[in-house]
Parts: sequence; structure tokens; C-alpha cells
Amino acid sequence: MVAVGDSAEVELIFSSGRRRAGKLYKKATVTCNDHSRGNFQIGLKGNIYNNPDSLYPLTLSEAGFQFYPENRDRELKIEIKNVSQEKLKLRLVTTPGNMVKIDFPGKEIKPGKSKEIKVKIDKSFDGNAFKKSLTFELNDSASTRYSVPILFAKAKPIKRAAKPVKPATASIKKSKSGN
Amino acid sequence: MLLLFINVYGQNTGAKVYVEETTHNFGFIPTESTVTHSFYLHNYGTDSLKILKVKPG
Repeated sequence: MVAVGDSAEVELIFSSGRRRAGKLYKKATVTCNDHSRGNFQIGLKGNIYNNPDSLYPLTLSEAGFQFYPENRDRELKIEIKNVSQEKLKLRLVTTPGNMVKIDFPGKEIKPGKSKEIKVKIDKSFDGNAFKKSLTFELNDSASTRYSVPILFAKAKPIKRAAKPVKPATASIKKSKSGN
Repeated sequence: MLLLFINVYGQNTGAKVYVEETTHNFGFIPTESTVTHSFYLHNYGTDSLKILKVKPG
């Protein structure tokens, strides 16, 4: 229930699974009591990759940030390298929320140079495990975007034998935010 | 003029939803990972907005 003048948050969660590299588009249909609008769709799109070191115009040293109880107080870093011929500036598009502190390079990165994205779990956070992500955009002509997963788990996963390739799945978490 | 007013008023009664963005571009996403994005639904109507269902696909 969203009061008049208020807003609600609908979080879409996308799991790439062992899907092959390539473009994706996933959508969800929202039904509400705005009868003039009826059902409407919201969607997610992106480009799945296998190797963070093969990307362009930026390469990443790691695909994501993974926090477990033993390293939850540490600051994790990902090195981003400009492998293009032009200066690149980054802009944060979405952040995971207050439970994560992000140190993001504000200045432009010159060709061939590297900077770091640093992420730390906020000391005051005592909530449950989560899977979130941050998205940033470059100022190149294509406005290239990258999404970096941020995992906070209560325990390290147990490795299992390889499974067959599964299709990608999308699930939805609905929550309300008060203004 | 009165009829026009009634018509406009009538269109704004009840719950009215406004979505800032309807598609989010993640850009590059690593395989075997989970990424998330929050969409914000605003109610600019005159009655409470009920989100009845969100169905993937």
C-alpha cells in the first residue's frame, strides 16, 4: 500500500547463472490499482561476460566483491584499467544502499592507467546476508556501463561438481519505502 | 469550461502510478553472479496505490 504522494521500491534481482556470454533482456509485469494504466512492464538489460580482463574500454581485476564473516571488516578493492585511447570518467549510477561504503574514483582515468574501486561493509550493519550490486557509467560515446556484484554471505559456499548450463532466471523482491 | 474541469478532475482521481524509469541498463554483468536494481513507483493520485502483483517474464 503506497499512500498518496508516497513512493514504493520494487527491486528486481537478476541471476546470470552459468548463462553464456551475450546480451540479455528480462522484464517483469506490475499489476496495480491504477486502472487508467493497467498492467505495465519494467525491464532489465545488460551484457553478460565471462572474463573481466577482456572487457573494453575498461578492464576489471575482479568480477565482484565477496564478503564473508572472516573478511567483513576489510576494505575490498577492484582495479579498473583504461585500455582505450581516450580519457575516461566514471559516474556511479546505482549503489547498493547504506550497508556498503563505496570509495569511487572521481577523477578521470588516463589511457593505460588504473584506479581502484574500494568497498567496505558499514560497521553499523548487522543485517542478514545480501546480494547487491553497483552500476557505473563511463563518459565515452557509448556511455558504457558496468555492474559489479557485491555479496555478503554468512559462510563461504561449498564447491560442488560442475552442473549443466542453466538458463538465466529473474526473481523479484517487493518492498515499500516511506518518504 | 465546467465540463472540461470535471473531465480533468475525473482523470486524476484514484491511485495514479508514475515510474521514473521503466528499463535499467546494467551494462556488463559477470557470469554466475547476481545483480539488483530498484525501481521507484510514485503515487500522484488521490487514493492509496496497491501493488497487487509483480510477475517476471
